[in-house]
Amino acid sequence: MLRLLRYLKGYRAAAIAAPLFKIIEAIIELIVPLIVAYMIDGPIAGGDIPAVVWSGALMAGLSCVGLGFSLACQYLASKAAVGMGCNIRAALYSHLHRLNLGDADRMGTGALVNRLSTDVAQAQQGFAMFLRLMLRAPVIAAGGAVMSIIVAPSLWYIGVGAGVLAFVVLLVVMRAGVSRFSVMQKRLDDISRLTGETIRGERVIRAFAGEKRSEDKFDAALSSHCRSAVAASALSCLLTPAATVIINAAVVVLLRAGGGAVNGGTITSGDLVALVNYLNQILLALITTATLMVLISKAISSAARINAVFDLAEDKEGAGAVPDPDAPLVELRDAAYSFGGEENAVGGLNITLRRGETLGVIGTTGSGKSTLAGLLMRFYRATEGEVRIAGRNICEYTDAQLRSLVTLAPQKPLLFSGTVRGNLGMSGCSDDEKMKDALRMAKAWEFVSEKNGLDSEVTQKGNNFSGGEKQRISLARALLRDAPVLVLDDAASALDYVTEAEVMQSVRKACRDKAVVNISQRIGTIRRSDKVLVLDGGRVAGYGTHEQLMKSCGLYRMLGGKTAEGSAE
Amino acid sequence: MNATRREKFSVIRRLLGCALAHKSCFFPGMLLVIAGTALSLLAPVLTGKAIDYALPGNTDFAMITRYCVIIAACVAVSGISVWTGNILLSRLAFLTVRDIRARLFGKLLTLPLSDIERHSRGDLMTRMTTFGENLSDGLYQGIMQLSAGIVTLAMTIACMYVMNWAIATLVVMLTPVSAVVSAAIAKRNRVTFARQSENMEKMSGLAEEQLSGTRVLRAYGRVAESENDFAKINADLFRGGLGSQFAGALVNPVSRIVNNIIYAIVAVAGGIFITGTLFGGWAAGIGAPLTFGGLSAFLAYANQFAKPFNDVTSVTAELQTAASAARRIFEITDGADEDKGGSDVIEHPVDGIAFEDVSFSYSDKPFMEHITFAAEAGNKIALVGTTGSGKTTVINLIMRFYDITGGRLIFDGENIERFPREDVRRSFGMVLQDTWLFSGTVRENIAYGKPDATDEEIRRAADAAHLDKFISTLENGYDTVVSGDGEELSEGQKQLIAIARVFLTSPEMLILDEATASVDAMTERAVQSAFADLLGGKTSFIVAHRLSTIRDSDLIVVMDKGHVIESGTHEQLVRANGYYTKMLKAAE
Repeated sequence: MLRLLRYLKGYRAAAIAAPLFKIIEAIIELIVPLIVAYMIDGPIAGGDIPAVVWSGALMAGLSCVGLGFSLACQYLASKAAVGMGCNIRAALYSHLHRLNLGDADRMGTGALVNRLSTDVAQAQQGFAMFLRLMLRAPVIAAGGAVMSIIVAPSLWYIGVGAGVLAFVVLLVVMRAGVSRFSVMQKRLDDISRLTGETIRGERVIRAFAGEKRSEDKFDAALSSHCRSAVAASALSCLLTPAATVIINAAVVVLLRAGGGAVNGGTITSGDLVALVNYLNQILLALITTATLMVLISKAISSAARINAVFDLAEDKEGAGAVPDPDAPLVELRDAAYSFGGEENAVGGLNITLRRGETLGVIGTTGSGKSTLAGLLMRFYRATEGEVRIAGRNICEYTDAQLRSLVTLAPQKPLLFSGTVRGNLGMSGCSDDEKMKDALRMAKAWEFVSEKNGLDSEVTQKGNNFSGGEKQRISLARALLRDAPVLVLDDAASALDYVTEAEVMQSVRKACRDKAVVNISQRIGTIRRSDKVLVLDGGRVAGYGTHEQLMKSCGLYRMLGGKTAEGSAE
Repeated sequence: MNATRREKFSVIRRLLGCALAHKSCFFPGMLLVIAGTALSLLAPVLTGKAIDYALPGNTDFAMITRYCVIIAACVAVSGISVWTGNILLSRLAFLTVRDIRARLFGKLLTLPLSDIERHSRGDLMTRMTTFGENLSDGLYQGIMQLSAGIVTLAMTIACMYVMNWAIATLVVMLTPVSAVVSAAIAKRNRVTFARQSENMEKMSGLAEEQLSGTRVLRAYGRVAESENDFAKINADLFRGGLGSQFAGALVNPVSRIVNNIIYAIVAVAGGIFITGTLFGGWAAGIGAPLTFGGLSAFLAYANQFAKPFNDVTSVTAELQTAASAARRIFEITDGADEDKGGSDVIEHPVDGIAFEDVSFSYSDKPFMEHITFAAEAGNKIALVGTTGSGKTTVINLIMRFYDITGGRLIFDGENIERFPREDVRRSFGMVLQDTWLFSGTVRENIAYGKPDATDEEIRRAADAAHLDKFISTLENGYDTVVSGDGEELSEGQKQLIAIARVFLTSPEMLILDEATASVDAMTERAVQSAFADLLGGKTSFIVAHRLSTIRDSDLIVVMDKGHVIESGTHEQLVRANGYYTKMLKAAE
């Protein structure tokens, strides 16, 4: 939690002033029992009714002043907490777009969005409560103890003892509570995971008659959540009664000892009333803190989750470099990438690609094709060898430079809500006619014009288009981009063969002066490439033209399915 | 307004009905909380009595000791009983929510698929998690705070009346001020809170889309623009957040000032009554004498007089949230289950499946019409066509995930509706393009259709699906745990696991919906031949993009836009030189 305090920037003054105002208010509140004691011993004992009324008015007046300070504190605390929340959110959002993509994939978008929404909100709420209430409680408690010493120095041990004891109990219970709450949170995550899993698996579960087993598993998760929740709340329920018992025990001691003091004349009855009052104030302050336990423990675990994301490394851009116009556009020298496991995800890559050339990439399942695309986009950085774009190591370029050199049409077409024009405009092109041409090339104009042309609405993630339609729009967007290197990562995989063949033909036409890396599962898509790279389990199994590979590469022939003909049937 | 309020009450009543299933927590818990709270409220009166025995030079130590013992006993008993009561009530809340969640989960498995798919996954998950939490909070707070709050109020007023009716009446007359103030603040809170949650939803929506699209944003250099969009929403969140945070922060100070003023009034009134008791005795004359100890007790009560009001108003807000959460959950649990289908017994082997002029629609718009084709026992039927042409829907109808809306679907010579749904489904082995793994070991995932399979059987199924090599590279082999999304595996590997799953069950008939779409052609051929060996001569339905794999089918059904446009064997279709031929050419 403390680490997140650096995001207080711009709100530091508010964050410091808020508790200060609160403390002033608390001190004012602490004066009230003194007035009561004065009333009892002075005007009341003396029968001076106007003085009694004046004392009452003074108390009310002080409370109003206290309210002023308190409101100021509430406003400043709200501002500081909300401001910090927004700062965290903005920083986190930027961080997430610069995060190493391997880490981002492992976390999953759902979890990342949760960090931004729920976790930041909880940290913010916890911080606000901390500023507003948590700091008030110790001041009231300590102040109450100090005041009780001032009123009756001989009974100092009662207020101090009660305060210290109550705080120790509070801290111990809180510590245990926080860990129990985080266990409960994990069990809740299990429930959510199983629910999501079941909804995704509806068909398979029903097909395999797995309903009963799913239910049993879920019941087990529910029961252990229930147990951990009861265990956590048993602690949080303990705080209020425990505080009440401790304070009243102090009252009992006070009455016994105080009775003697009054008897001996060291203190007055009014003092005794004031002392009881202070103890009650300490009690109330403690109870308020107790009710915050859940909030604070949630905030702490949220803060830990947020920090864990901040700890993930960002991809650093290069210092900048000037592309060499004469060098090959794409050059891989012994490049390899490893996700950290023993084996490289892909390795031994040696490729040279010049302007106007196309490279087809094909391979078995999990052979590292998409990792290769990631290397060319600098989503992943080669762990061995190097990747050179236009004669420079890819790591030397700034983000902007690299993006003007290399562009991508991904397998998972990612559209954004807005219009088709807005999505195509991401390429940097704002010419309607060019956009229409690109859509025609990608065989997307037909269904786009049927809707509302370039103004067709795109709903969240493009879900109002089918998978194949999304891929075509995404392809059109890539075609609009000026970058000389185009990476197509299985970019037409959702299209049927007829449409794909037509699309690929126009792509070839449009990209005559670019270097194209075309990754596909289908041999028909890549056979017309100048060179073909065959990957198998992260290693290069063949590199050459279609004809050469048909002769020399057994795997290639099998991927094409020509020689295996008949053996399967 | 009235109708919705009545609805809310009926939801809350229903919720209480669910809670009453745990009577052993409900009533003892409530009794303990009420008794404990009441008992703890005696402490100020008793303390006051004791104070009255502390007089300069004339302190009655025996009486003070007696009161001390009584106070200690009261507080100890009350502490224990409030604690156990609270534990019981929170247990009650969690048990009730457990029941409701179990019911909701059960519904996810028994509702018709069409009803489930009407909701997004996120929507259903929110109902299970967030709304479930709202329920348990609402129930616990509702029962606990409400009973404690009401008891505190009643007990405080009663004790004050016992001590001094006049001051008590004064306090009771001031009571509405507290109530009105807390209610006004609570109302304002609800408005600002609703506005803020709208902003939050917008932010989550944007973040979800932009973060899942981060590859494109980075590749196209649009991260800065995306940050600007986010900053705009973030600014709204700041304004809205400040408003709702500050509104929430008003509750305490404002109720405290009301409280403090009542406190001052009680102090003044108490002072006047004490003087009235000490000098002149008029207070005793009207039957309302007051001592110093009495004043101390009054002040203690006044000190916490606002608390029950705050509790009760915050509870109403919690209860409202709980009620709307419960309504959203009951919406699902009240849905009618998928009917079990007929009760005829399927006679194995199944004698073919036939579509006779079948039509189907998801909504009022017809999606599929005039589908007619027949699969005889042992036939291999291929369904081909463009994306969205209705191939998968045909599969959904055969598996009875959806019901036809017109025509007849014949299964084993009878209308398919005469057989139990489960029996129809169990006679098929099914592999879908969108594979499903659950969090568990690789072994458990393969053995999903046959949990009692031996290791040897599992290994053989994995071999047949060409998984052996891959599994041997895993750190813990078959015992490697995969996450629910299986993100650590490639799509192809996931499909192979799903295929092994079917190999293990060796079903009577087979459905492969793009089952090898993410598997490379070489592995696919090997797996296909394993299918041929294992399931030779069994009725199968295959949806495939790669036409080479379905060439030898007994019947190829070519679909487009929800209609069958061609059907026949490979040779027949090639001779017809229609759409199928066009597809063949494109694939070369």
